[in-house]
Amino acid sequence: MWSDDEYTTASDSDGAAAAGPDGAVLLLPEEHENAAFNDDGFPTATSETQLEVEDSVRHMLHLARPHPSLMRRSHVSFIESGLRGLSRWWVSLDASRPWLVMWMLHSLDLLGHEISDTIKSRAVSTLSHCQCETGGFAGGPGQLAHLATTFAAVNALAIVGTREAFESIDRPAMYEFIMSLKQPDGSFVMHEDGEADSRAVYCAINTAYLLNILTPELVDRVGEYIVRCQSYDGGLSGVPGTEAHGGLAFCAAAAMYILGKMDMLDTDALASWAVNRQMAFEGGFQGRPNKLVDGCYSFWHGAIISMLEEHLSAKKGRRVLLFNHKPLQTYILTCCQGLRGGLLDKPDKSPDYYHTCYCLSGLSVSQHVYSRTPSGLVATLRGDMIGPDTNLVHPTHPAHNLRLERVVAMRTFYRAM
Amino acid sequence: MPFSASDWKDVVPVPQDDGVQPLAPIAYAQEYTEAMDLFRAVLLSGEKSARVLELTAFIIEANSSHYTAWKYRLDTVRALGSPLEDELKFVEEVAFETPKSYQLWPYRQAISDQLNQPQREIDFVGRILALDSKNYHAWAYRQHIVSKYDLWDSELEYIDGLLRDDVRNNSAWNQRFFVVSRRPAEFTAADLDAEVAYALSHIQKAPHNESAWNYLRGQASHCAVLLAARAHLLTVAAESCLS
Ligand SMILES: [Zn+2]
Repeated sequence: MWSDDEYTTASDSDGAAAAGPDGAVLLLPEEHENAAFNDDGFPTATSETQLEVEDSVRHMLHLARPHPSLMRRSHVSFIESGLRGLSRWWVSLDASRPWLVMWMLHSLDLLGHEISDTIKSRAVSTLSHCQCETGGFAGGPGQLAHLATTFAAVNALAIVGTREAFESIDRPAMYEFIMSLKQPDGSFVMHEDGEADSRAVYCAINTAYLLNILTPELVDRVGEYIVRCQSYDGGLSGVPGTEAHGGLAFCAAAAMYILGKMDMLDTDALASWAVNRQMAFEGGFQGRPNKLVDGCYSFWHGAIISMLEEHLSAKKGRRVLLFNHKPLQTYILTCCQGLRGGLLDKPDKSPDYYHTCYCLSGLSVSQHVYSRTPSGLVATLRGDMIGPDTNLVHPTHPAHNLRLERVVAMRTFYRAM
Repeated sequence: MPFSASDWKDVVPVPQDDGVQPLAPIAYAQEYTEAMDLFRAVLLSGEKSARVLELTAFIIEANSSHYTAWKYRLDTVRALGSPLEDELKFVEEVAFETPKSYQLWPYRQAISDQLNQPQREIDFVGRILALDSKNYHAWAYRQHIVSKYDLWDSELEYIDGLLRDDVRNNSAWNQRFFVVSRRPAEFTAADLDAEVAYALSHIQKAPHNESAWNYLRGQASHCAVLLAARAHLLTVAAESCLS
């Protein structure tokens, strides 16, 4: 089948600073042009938009300095302004309030910006007002409990990490809530009369694991459901038969990783699919074949690759490296940073809190390699980082997307109960 | 769709209880706040009425991810027995504004599953896919309709058209795999030859197109599994003959 070497798709020169013909330091060597999309002289809508995006990325790469830096201070002030409040245009996120809190706090946490005690107790209060008596968290005060906002609220409370935060969660009601959404095929629905997919499965499994309520009944047939979501191209989809997709593939893979069921999947096919989502020219990831690069997939695919690296290394007893991390870091640093802070999808887009969270999370998994110890995952530096050492962010857990110590602290608290 | 505050004079609005100094509060437009204050009162009273349909329509049009408003609307429609045809039209209005909303698709399904109008559903999804031929939710819904109403044969023609427009449409390739691997007809050696020839003819047009290659490889491993199963059966049959 595959040798591990075949997983490394791009040469080492990608993403490294190089000297141009006139001696000027370039971010990328001229041969990088060879990686541009080849439309075989047969243009279609897909190839035309792809070439337009490559032009905008090319423009950013030409403007970029050889050692691009992460604009930490601007990102922190972008996030702090979000914590203070959002304009009326963000009403589309009014059923996603716990997500907003989680995206903002996790971004600060990855940047190593200390979250003040005041913000911590305001976070607990905000989220408590979204908690439902019947268990679970809603998208906002007075709304119905929903698995996705439950996931976001619990992760946000893990970041807060105080006793007040942990004690604010009604775990018995939470267990009842999650079990009430379980389906006969092993999946979960997001809420009563809602949709069932691998996202809902991940939200249920992640939450139950962190709260230490992962019973055999809750896990029953989850692995079988996710196996049915593996597509003919090796990727993972939302429901069996639909197209494999980065965000849903992350959810499916992370659920299996948390449950220790990775080997139920064809991990070689998944690895091949995930590494091939990295764009040869742009360096960032696309969500599906023949779609456009987008900064948020830095995490969705980057985390799948990191989980596979850890899983396959432990299984084979030697280090398996699959991540072509330098081109990704170049893409995030040169194409995804807003001028006034915040991170974004691709050049010409505006920053938002979702992309800020997942570009930083993607940067984090690309900077670290994970390995398993009896006390949990540990991270070591991947090395060859793009830009100055100050670009380093904290390692995030590739399955939970929380700093490693946040996972341990939350689990330890509930295990002692 | 505006809702009229004068219809609601008998209801005491329930303001949002965010707690003290909430994080990331949204500066709602005045009308949205008014509608939500009434909606919270409705959730408490359990009222199911025509004006609730107007109110939820307003909230959904302002924020199509408001799953609580969608769910309460569905409960109201069921309780009132209101015309399902109107709901299809409502979903269509929302779909053309925000086709990527997660919520509108399960809502559409809950309504359309009771109506048994496959052609209408296929036409609706077709119109959404004409705007964005890679809309993930629309394709998932289309798969539901195709399998529920056994529309396998006409689906291949539709996919063919999409791939003529854009041979790189990975969603269309996925749909072809879905149809070929799930239709009730047995997958024969002739089918395999046809699928391989189909993929190769598209690969010739644009040899760097990953979607067509993935399809070819997918068919190869799909039939490898079938062949392995057949070989296994032959072995079992041979052994039982010998014994
Ligand atoms: Zn994105």
